[in-house]
Amino acid sequence: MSEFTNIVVNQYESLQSVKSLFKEFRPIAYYDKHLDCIRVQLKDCSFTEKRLNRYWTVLEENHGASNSLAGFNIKGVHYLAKELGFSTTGVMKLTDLIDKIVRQYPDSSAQIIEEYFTYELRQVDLEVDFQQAA
Amino acid sequence: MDTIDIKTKDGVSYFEIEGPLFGEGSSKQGKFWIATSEIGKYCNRGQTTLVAQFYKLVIPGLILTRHIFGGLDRPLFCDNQKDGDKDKYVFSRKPVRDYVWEGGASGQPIQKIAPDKSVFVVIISKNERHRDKFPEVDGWIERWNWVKESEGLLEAPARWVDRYKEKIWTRR
Repeated sequence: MSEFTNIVVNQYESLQSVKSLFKEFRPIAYYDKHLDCIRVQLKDCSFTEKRLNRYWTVLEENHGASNSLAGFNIKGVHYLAKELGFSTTGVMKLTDLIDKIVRQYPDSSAQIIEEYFTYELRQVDLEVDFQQAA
Repeated sequence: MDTIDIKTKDGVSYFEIEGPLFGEGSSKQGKFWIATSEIGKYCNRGQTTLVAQFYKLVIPGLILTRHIFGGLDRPLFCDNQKDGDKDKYVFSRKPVRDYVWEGGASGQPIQKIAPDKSVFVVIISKNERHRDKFPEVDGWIERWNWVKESEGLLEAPARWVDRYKEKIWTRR
């Protein structure tokens, strides 16, 4: 078993180091393999995750305009893939995935996602690359 | 000055953060790791506010956790396990401040008032399957964010009874 080495850095130095890695934010969709969900974030901001049901969570912006949504999560992706018949190994257009879920589970939560996000998502044309999972 | 522990093992670096140990007594502290490369991914995606919250709420704040809940009540495939939801633990507390990042690469974390009626949660998976390689690690930090607060249990997420399998620890 290998040993680890330990260093102690101060927070300021560590922050200087990480912020040199910052890239400009763009709307994103990515698969989170730890929590088996697709995270869609359209704005870099603080948000509160509000669960709609087992599959949908919306991100409510904390310090912006009232009722503004910064994105959403699609949860239980492997289960949905099995139910809806899509692959979790390739690249998938986000709007196609949302259409599939909404058709299969047309409830009030899906309606919120469709009504709030569809127009913006068609503008940014996001894809989920399951090989680039976070 | 606030310090951060960084461990390196087999050429990979990890932040080490202390927090309560999965309900095994309030006097015991666990060690929770997250690879520095995971924070690098947030940087690459430009998710600067999540980085600010990691430095200002997760690193110094995990030790202040008020409740720990076990098991997410939803289908979750993780680490080649169909029942990955069982390994997830939610550490919740109610900080008085929130942080955002302003100014990009030349900026810094900016303090804000915490969102109303919300709690901050850190999701951690218990280190069971990788215990042989990482015996010093109690859990892996996977995510952090704000969620709405329960009206019945202070510093707990709303509808925690429905969202999680069980409440396993509360700070007295």
